[in-house]
Amino acid sequence: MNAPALLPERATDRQILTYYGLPAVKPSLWGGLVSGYIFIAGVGGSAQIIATAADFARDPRLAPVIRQGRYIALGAAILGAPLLIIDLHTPQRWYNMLRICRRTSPMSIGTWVLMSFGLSSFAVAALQYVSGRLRRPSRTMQTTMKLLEVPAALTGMAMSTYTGALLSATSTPLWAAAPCQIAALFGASAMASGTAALALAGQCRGASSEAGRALDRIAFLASAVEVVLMLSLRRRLYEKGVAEALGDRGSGLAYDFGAVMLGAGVPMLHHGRRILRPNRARRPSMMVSLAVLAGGFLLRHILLSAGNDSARRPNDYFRFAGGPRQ
Amino acid sequence: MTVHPRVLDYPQSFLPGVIPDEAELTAGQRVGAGRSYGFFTDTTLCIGCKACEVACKEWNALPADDLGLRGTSYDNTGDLSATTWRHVHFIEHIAENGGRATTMPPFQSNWLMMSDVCKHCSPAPCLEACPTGAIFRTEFDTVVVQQDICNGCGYCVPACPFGVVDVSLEDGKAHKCTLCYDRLKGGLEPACAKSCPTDSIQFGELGELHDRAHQRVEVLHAKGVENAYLYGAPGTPGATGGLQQLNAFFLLTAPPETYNLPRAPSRPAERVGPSLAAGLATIAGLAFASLAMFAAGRAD
Ligand code: SF4
Repeated sequence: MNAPALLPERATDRQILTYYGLPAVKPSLWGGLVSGYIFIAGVGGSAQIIATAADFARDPRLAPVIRQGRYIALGAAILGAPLLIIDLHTPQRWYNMLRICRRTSPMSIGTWVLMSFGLSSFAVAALQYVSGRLRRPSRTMQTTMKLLEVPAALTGMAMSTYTGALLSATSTPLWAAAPCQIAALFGASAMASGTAALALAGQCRGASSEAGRALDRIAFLASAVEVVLMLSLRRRLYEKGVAEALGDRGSGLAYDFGAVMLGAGVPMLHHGRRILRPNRARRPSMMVSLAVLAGGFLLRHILLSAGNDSARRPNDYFRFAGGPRQ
Repeated sequence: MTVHPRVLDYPQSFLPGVIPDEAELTAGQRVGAGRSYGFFTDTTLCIGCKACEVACKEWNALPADDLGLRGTSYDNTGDLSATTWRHVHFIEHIAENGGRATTMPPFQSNWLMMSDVCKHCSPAPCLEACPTGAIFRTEFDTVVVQQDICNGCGYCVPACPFGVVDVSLEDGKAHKCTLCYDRLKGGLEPACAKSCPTDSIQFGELGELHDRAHQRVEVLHAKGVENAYLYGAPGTPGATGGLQQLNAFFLLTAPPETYNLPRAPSRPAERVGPSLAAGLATIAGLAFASLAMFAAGRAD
């Protein structure tokens, strides 16, 4: 055996050797379609969670939120699947995804999560629609809906967060360096976006003030958690020495001002004010809900493209895969 | 190296057909299913002739790449890709002051050359990422992409810790070295190893290759090449972070980064559990908080 001592000393961070600066790993082939899917999966998954939570509260005044949440979830599932299929490079073979089920591959996990989320969301939304048309919905229908909304909400949780594992279970330095932070951030951001989508739906299709008050609180909490996680992710990436790609070509500014401030910070303050002064604030701001949604998409798109960029930087990869610091 | 006695059975210049178990004559090994095969690439023997690159392209009918000059070294191939499955790195040693080096270390002079290839990792991150089962482990313990199943999702591409596998935009499928799966099935040595004129690329059963490699390191140390070490054999750099071993492993004489190799690669699949757990815990917490907030609304 050759002793590890024979391995030449690791160069200091500044002078890491590279092979003529050429990339050491390949970036993913993903672009806007996949950022879009990650965003939509989060909105739909979380809308389903919120609808189920509202249904569990047994408050008849929450009926509009429940209904709208179920429809948003179905819409996301219907939109998400084609986005993924179009992104394949041999899309006519999409069904090969259903050949196996693999625990080590978030892509395979996600295939089955999307399948079960889509089917259960479809069933819940269909029952919702039918029972809305009937004058006296049958008891069996109500019970079936209650039974189905639980798996729909549970797979909704997976829909909102598995995409973090999808990015982190790679060798792309910026994603692989923060597996827990990215998934948790996607989860919080999904809840914030799902709430914003429901607030918007409430504005357009009508909602009760009780629902509005609860949504304000959920939005405040989710945005607050999101801000904390966004800052801790940034710190983690700096500590691991893989944040360079986030400081480049404006993506750092987009992250700090677009995603952190506009997408989460401002909405957090807005909802906080509404909670503290319920009488002063009248209607929830549509602009804020739109800002949350735009920020949620931006966050995912920045992380996706900065990740691809980091894979092209051998220094970032060698710092990530550099072993224990000497 | 002694000539195998069976060689004398085939004196003719033009053979009537494939020699049965030809690998026994060319690599001293019979190829049989159920055993582990790999490459030992000894960079101290590489002369940078690129015969392996050519042999690989010829056998696998891979098209030529962009024929430009990179202007960095004599390596104009650059990296492994969907159409390049062997790639020779050329690294010039420059003196401290940036000028021409005046001292010459033993073996490889002031040029380091290394023929890079898919590592056929065990476990293989590309395989573990593949959602269709197109990438599989063969009966020779090598890692191959089944072209009739791959749907070009591209997830293996960022999963590989060595930047090897790539999706071809021409046909929309992932491609990489197959360790000449078809040749192994026919009892032949892989094309690159057979064509290597200095035996820098050695094909064989893994256990035997490991023994040979460790001996070679000792010989080199005795000759004064103190910085010779193995990369990718069990317990050496490259076989880290959940990667037990690389079936294609290397003997190197400079830091791994010099050859564009990571010092401590890791297995992406090990990040799946923590990532899913953190994500689900966060969202479950928020879900319960939402339930509490809706329920609180009912109370007042
Ligand atoms: S080197 Fe990359 S392509 Fe080859 S087996 Fe390992 S992960 Fe797969």
